[in-house]
Amino acid sequence: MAKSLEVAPPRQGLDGFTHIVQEHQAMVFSLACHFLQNRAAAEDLTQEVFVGLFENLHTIQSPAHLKSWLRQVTSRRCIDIARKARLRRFLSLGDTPEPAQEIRLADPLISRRLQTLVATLPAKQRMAVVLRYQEDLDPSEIASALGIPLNSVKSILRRSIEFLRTKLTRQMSEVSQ
Amino acid sequence: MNIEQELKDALKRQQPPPGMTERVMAAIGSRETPAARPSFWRTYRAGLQLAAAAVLIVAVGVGVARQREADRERQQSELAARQLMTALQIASEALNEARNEIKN
Repeated sequence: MAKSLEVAPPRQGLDGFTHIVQEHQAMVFSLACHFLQNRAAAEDLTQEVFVGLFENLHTIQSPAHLKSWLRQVTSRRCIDIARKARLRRFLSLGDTPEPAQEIRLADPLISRRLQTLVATLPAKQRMAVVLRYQEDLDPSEIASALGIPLNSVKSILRRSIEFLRTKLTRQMSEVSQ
Repeated sequence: MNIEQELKDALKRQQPPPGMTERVMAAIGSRETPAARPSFWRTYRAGLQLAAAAVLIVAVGVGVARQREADRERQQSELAARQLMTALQIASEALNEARNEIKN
């Protein structure tokens, strides 16, 4: 029989679950926010993911499983949204929303351009990059979260980095001229 | 330029807006809790039991009917075999009589 979650089993009710939300909401929200480039949509998705978690809490076996479940559900939900809404069509370089103002960046110009470029990647590539550089996941963890083979993840990351490097270098050289 | 470091800077975690936890908990509170919601088994127990009983009855009925059909076919085969043996025996006797008459 599966061992139940020690952090907050369902019988502890809403109080225990509040701690889970407080602990993990930044990860879920930020994944959605970087992926969707839309804070309101990210808030809606965060709420939806945690409601789903509450309904499936009995299936969670450990804190590590909980974190992995949240990453997996958030990633897949983001990709579903991108596919359904065909966000890529609207997220062209010109009309990408401005990133949130409260972010403190090492180099605002480069970071903003990178965020914009990341938003132009296809859904799975985009989520792989966000998981890699926001959550610092290794390729095997990304493969697990996205449900794709490890070699595909490595290939996706390699191609994405190359694409971002080329585009960013070109844009920065245009700016400096 | 170190693109990987730039990506880490660009994709730093963003904090959710204040009140996110309350919003999530309100959404959860407005739903039924898993404990209060009747389980699938409890909701459909009677129907499932009835369906299972019906399936069992049909399965047993089909099994019995097939067994009876097999028995009937076996009996018919045995009868046909006996009749054939009798016919062969009569034919054999008739042939023996005819052969004896030809010899005599």
